[in-house]
Amino acid sequence: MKQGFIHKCSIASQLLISCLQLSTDLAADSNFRNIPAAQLQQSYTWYDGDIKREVWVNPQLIAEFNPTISQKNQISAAVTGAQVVSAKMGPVRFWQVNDTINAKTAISSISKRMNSNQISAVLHDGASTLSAMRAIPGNIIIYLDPGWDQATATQWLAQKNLQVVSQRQFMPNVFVIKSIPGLESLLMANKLYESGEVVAAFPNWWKELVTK
Amino acid sequence: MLQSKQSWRYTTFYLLILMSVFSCSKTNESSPIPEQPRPEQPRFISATGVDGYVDLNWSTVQYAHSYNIYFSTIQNTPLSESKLLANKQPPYTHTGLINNTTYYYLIAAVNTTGESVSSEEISATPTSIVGTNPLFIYQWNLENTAQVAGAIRGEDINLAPLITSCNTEDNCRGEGILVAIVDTGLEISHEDLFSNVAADMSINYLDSSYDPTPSASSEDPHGTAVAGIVAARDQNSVGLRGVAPRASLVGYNFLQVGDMTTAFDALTHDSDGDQSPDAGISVNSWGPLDNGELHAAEIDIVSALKVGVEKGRNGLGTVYVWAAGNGAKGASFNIDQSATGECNRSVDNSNYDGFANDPRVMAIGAVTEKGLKASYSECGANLWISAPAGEFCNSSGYYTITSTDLSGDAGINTDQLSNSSEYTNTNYTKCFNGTSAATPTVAGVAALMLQQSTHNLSWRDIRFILANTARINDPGPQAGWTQNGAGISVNHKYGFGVVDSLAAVAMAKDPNYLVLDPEVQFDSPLYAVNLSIPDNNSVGVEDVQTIANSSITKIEYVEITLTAAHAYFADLEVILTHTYLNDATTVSSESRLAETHLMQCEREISNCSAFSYNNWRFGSSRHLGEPADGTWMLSVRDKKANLTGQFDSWKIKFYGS
Repeated sequence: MKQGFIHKCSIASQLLISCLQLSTDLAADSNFRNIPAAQLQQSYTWYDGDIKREVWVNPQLIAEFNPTISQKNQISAAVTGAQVVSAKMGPVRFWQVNDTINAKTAISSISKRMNSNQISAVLHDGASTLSAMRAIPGNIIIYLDPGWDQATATQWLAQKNLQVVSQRQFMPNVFVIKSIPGLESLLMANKLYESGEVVAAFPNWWKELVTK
Repeated sequence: MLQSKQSWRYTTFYLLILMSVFSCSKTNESSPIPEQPRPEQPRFISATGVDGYVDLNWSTVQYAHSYNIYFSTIQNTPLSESKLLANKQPPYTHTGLINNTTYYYLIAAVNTTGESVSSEEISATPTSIVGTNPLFIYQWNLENTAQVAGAIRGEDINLAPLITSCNTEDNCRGEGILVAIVDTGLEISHEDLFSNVAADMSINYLDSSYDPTPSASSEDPHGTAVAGIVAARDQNSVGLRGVAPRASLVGYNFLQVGDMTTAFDALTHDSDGDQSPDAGISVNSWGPLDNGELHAAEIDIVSALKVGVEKGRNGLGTVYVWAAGNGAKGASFNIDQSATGECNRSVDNSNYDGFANDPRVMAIGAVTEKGLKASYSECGANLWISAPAGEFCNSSGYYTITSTDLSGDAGINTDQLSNSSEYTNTNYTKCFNGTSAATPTVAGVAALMLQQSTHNLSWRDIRFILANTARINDPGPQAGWTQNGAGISVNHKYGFGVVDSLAAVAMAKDPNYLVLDPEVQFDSPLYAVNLSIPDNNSVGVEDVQTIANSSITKIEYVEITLTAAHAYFADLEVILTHTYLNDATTVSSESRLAETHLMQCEREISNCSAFSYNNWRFGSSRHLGEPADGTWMLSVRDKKANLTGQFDSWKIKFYGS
């Protein structure tokens, strides 16, 4: 069973034709994750609370969130040779760019063309394309000092020019902050965490998950 | 058949477009829109109680855009204190109700101007019907009569006595317990589920509606199959019966979105703003890839679980059940055919999954119709209990778990499927399996316990009772059963054994049962070790620490955080040993936290360094009932040649009372 299809083809259906048929439909992308691992050279740090974690950029994959037909046409027009290479995993459709174009360059080209930015780099939890994938659909989550009162928290957010999307129920001073999809959100979260002014700051990760 | 269905969909799509075009042109022609009169009071209301639901109907009134339905189980409840079902149209079926309970309704018409005077109050009382469930005879997981070839009679969850003792009119099937299916979706109108679906409480995160039925494009049946195992309706003359066939269901299609924000909401969703998550039980048959790598639970997931156990059920805690994982043989990866699925020849271990090994969840393993570990089910010191799920369906008539499937030709059992062993009624499947199938089984038992107990059982009580009443399966001498220091039988493959619904409900109902004392947590300091781990050596590095004055006399869970930088972490075996004096007798118990194992990136060995144990949190249930005080030794052994590393540090945390 191919990794990219695990979400659809859990162990529940290993012998089912419905699952096999899905694989057939997507025969073209059977190797979309098998980019030689040596090419996964660029990594980023992110902060899972106070634990530092590392993720590796896939140089040939792009994640498109909430795909539409018009968006598909725009991406195809922006990046020569870009191909959809997987079934949708949750809200994400994956594109592979050809060897001569780096995913970062492709994202930059797409962003210039598209009004609505729904594109993210694809990252892996390990330095292998077979490791779990992540992407950033936009927004970061920050945990401020739970001892702050609401006014202090609000004032701090305003000072930093952070736009609040929502405030977490149940947890004092945890906010979802507006940010664009992709690595910019990761860098923004890191900057906030490294400032020492927040308890936690991390992107609103989309993460590869499977049914069991 | 499929072609026919698709063309119907397109027809609907075009109709919607036409309607929206029409609507647009109307809007453009009239400006400004005059304020409408407030609608009239709805009249001619009828309410008919059926099995688990009430059919409501009323005459439409002029100027009404929609109707608000207010309901309560107390007569003459003011609108402000009633529950609201907003924006409905007649007729409306109010589902998820408890039989023999009278529901009182008021209906008000609504338009842009406001709400009408509400109707006269009307009431209805749902009552049981008496029917059978035609697929029950195939549910060997509930009552194993050896109806599957090779099955062993009695290798089930011992539900038959509970079914027999629960009279038709009695409430003893999980009534009033809300079970959340956190998954790919839930077909809320399924013929065998709808009457148990709590009205307007599910969430579709894709469109913010109350209907998480999988879309035509996804057609993912997983959540619907999970839900059927918990609470397919009994006695309704169709399909199967769930373990708790009158529990209320909600579906949160989190996996269709998959981001942190949605995960937090799905694990803690509070629809009425009462500062308590809705779900009494949260079923999570999902997780990270089963590839032998380390998959930490992010701080946001851990925070959600903390919220759930602290605030769910108004402080008694949401009960989180979690699939242990299917990666014993590498699941879909087939990276090494020598992976047999036995604990020492596995690819994945449930303890490498930071969701399944969290102290606030119960990790559920899977067993077969013979009561043996399913080949795919992951071992782990964090396992709590196991439940039947079977191996794999095959065309020669062997089948796994019967459950609800997406209605019609969608889902697991499709009419495209040339599989003669499947049910002819494609609304159902006999081929659901995995720890995904075992997990809702335990959720169903927990629902029965919560509903039938007169105690205020906390989430910890549920875990404690399930552990103490689980049945020892696979009793052979090679099966690996041991008794821990508290005399509780435990197994690296099964946790405390197979869930026994009869025994669990009996203990939950026992008037002499004493609920657990408030939880105490004890954190050790960080122990620095900083020693190289001898390569290819079965002794390794051992670090012994003494815990004293912890105030925990009965452990419920142990958390071990390890840092060990190693070029290939899968070479390492990690063992925790507890030794203490009990009435002048030395007692010892052990948790096998990690095995030397295979993993997906083995063929790219130089790139696996990312998975060193870096503050990795292991969990162990195996010390249940032991005191925390005593000596604790962590042994780290590198049992494969060549790549090396060091044991840097560790710490230990106890949960108990």
